[in-house]
Amino acid sequence: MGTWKGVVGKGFTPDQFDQYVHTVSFGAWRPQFVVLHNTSVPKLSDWHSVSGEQRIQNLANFYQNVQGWSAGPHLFVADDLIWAFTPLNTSGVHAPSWNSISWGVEMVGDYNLEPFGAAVQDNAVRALAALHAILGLDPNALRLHKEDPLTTHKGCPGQNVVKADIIQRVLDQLAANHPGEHAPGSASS
Amino acid sequence: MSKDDQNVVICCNLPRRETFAFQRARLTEMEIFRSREFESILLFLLWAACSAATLQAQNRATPARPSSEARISGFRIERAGSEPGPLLVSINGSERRVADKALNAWVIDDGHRVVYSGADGAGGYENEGQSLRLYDSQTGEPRKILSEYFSIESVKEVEAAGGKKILLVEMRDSGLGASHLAVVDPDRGEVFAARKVRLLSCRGGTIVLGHYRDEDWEAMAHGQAVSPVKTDRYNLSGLLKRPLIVNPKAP
Repeated sequence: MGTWKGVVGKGFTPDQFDQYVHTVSFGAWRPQFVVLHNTSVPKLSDWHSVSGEQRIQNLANFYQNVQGWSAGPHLFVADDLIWAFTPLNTSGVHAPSWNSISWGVEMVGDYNLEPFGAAVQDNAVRALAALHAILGLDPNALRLHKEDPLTTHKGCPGQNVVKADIIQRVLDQLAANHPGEHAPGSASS
Repeated sequence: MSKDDQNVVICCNLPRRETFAFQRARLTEMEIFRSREFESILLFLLWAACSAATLQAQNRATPARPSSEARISGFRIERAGSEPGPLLVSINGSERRVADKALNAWVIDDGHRVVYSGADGAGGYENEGQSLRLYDSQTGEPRKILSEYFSIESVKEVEAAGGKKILLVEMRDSGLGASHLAVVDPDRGEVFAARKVRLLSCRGGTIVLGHYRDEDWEAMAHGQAVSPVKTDRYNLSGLLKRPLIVNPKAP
C-alpha cells in the first residue's frame, strides 16, 4: 500500500479558495492540466445529508483504507463550498492515464441524471479559474475524465456538462479577475 | 410445489371407472343408457380439461425449468452504449432472456451456467463498482455471487486441486488504473479479494499475484515494463475454505 499523502479537508467559499491557492508552495511537482469529474455517488441531492466535513472524512477513509490508494482527487466542488482534498502540490489519484501530470477536480453530483445547476457550476468555474491562474495553465488544455483512454467512466462528468461552455466560462472568469492581462496559455497560440 | 405442478396433480386424481360401474348395477336399462351417456360426456369433459391443464403447465414450465440436457451455447447483450442491457442466452437452439440489465457475460461449467456482470456493485470510486450473478440453466434462477468496488474486466474458470471449479475475477478501477482480483466459489460467492494486484500466473491450483507501487500503474498503462515489488502465492483449495466476503456500500 502506498503512503497516504493526507488531505487538506477544508471547505472554502470561492473568494477564500482563491486566497488559499496563493498560500500553497509549489515544488517539483506541477500539473500540466486539470481533469474534470463528477462524483456520480453521492449525488448532489444526497450530499448534504451529512456534513461536508464528514463527507470528506468518509471519502478519505475509503480511498486510503478500502481502495488502498496513496491519495484521491484534489478538489470536491459542492453547491456551497469548494473542498480541498489531496494537497495541490502533490499528485493525486483520479484518472489512470494522467495522475502524474494533472489536477483532479470532482464536481459533486451525477450530471447524467441531475441538472448541472448554477451553484455547482459557478463554484467549479471559480475554482478552475484559481487553479489555472496560479500556475499559468491554459484552460483549453482542460480534459474530462471520459477522455482518458484508460477509464471505463465514459459518462464522466455527465452529459449535462459541456466542456466548451466550461472552458469559455473559465476564460471569462480569468479575464474578469485579471483585466488587462493575457489569458494564461494564450502566448503559446 | 409450483402452481403448474398442482395442475398436473389435479388431472391425475380424476374419478376412476370402477366407481361408475358400481353405480350402474342398480339402474334400469334407460337409466343405464342415460348413465353411460352421462359418463361418456363427463369423461370427455374431464379428459379435455386434463389435456388443457397439462398443455398449459408444459408451456409455463419449459422456460423456468429446463431439462437436464440444457446447455448454453452462446449469449448476446442488447446494450445501448455503455449502459447495461438485456442478456439473452442460447439454450438448445432457442433464446432465453435471463437478465434485464447486464454489462458482460461469460459461459462456464461446460455450458451449464453463465455469469454476468451488472452495474449494481458495492459503490466504489465514482460508483464504478460492479456485481456478478450466476444463472444456472438447470434451475433457471439467477443468484448474486459478488458485489465489488471495481469494474469487472474478465472472468476465468479454473480448477483447484481435486477438480473443484472456481472463478478468477479480474477487475480494474478508473482512478488509479490498478487491477484487482477476486476468487469466487460459484456455489457460495466471493471468498478472496486482493487489491492492486496483477494475476501473474495460475498453474496447478496455485495463483501468483504481483503487487505494485501506485505510480507503477500509470507507467504500465503507458507500456513500460515494471517488475512487481513483491509476489504472493495462494493455493486455490485453501482460499475456498475462507468465509464469504460481503462488501458494504462505500464510500
